[in-house]
Amino acid sequence: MSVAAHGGELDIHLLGWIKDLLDDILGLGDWAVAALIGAVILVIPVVLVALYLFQRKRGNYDAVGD
Amino acid sequence: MKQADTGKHPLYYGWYIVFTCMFIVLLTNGVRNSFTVFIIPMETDFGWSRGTTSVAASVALLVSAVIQPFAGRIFDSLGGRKVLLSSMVVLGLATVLLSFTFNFIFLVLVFGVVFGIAMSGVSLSNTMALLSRWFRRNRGTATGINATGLAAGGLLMVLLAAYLMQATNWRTTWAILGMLILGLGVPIAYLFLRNDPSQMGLLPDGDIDTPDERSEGTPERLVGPLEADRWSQAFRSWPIWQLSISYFVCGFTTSIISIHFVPFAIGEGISPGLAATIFGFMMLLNIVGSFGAGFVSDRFGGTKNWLALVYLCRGGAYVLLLVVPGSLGLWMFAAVAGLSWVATNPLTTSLTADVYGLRALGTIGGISIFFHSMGGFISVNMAGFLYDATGSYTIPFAIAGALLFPAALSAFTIRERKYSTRYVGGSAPMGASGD
Repeated sequence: MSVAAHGGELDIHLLGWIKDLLDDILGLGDWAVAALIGAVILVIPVVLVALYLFQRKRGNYDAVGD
Repeated sequence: MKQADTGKHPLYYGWYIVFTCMFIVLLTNGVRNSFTVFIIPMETDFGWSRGTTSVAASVALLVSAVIQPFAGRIFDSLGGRKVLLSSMVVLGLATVLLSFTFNFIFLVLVFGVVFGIAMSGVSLSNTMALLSRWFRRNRGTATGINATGLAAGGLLMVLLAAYLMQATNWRTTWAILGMLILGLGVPIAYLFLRNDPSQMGLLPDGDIDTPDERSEGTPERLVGPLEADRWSQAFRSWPIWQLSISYFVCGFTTSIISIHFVPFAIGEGISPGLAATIFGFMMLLNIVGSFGAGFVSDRFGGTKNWLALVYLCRGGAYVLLLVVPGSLGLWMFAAVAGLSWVATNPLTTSLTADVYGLRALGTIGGISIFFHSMGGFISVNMAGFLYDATGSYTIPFAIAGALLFPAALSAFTIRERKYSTRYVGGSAPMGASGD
């Protein structure tokens, strides 16, 4: 079953197929793969904060204060 | 926060808003779609039937759709920052609360009602409305990037939930997902989200307000002939009906495939593994289609033409699905339909903002999403009913395909050149809208 919405649904068959594929390729335990996926998700906020701090250090932004 | 006049060219702050919104969409829609992973473990623990868990999912979907216009109204009154932040806090708390589920009523109340209401606050229509304030020329690109969060979240968060479930149990998994929203999503949203570029002394797209432009009137101050202060004004004109009716068809034709594509493929004699691969291929193309549609509409103009083309292509994809037999038909469908899947989102939002302005965009966008959700709700149930009655998906898929051609016509006949501020102010991109 999938919750109907616009895009982003992951069919249960597809989920099983991707899991098997990842397990075959990586050969890691469940916690390790979960940590790896978590790290991928973390990329966006980490890059955002790093870029903001970098720009701020160069003097491109003043301090936060809206 | 202000962009200092240092002579350097810093990244326009609006792009931080884009990726923050994309991250919010990724997290929140990802957690919602993760419900799929919880169904079997929760059913096993409580002895529920599939129909029981489906009720909670359906209630969440319906509540979110019905509340959407009201969430949009609050967005228009309070601004995006407050609405998105408070919705994320509620969403995070509700997700953590789900780890304490002890009976069916609790699940329906927390996931169906509280989670559903909070989802309407962080919906795509609200993040898109926020981004429309930050971008004008690059509105399609910005909203397109935002929409890629849907597919990315649907993949990453659901996989994360699946692995956490294997490593722990469903209670711990709900708690971790909730903590991710509270511990990661909320701080990022708090840090970066701002309602409007003017709050930071900026103009949309990072434009510079030169003295010449000041005297001539900058495009940002242009008001289109259908600029709406209230949603009801918008619904007294044709374009919003044309957009909403085609968006209804969009919901109708995407949801039916989300639920019934793999069963259809297996029924055609395709192995579940191959059917899932084709479905995965289609999902990956969502990302390309979403970003690409926004980008080309910004670059070449004529948003309504691109929107019509997207519906036309999707209609063609349905024809291929029904006419070309075996896996070839499925691959062809996935290639064409995958590109058009989420592409309607940035195009519809961008065109709505261009025609009706920003003051009531949250409410108008919320009503459009309501049309979209209703299309999805009707199609999924209709397909299930017709499949039971006929033993085949031919009739529901034929109905879906046939609806896409009038939807394309509806989008194509929008008088964009007459109503869109991109054209009214003479600031349109190089292309023409063609009306």
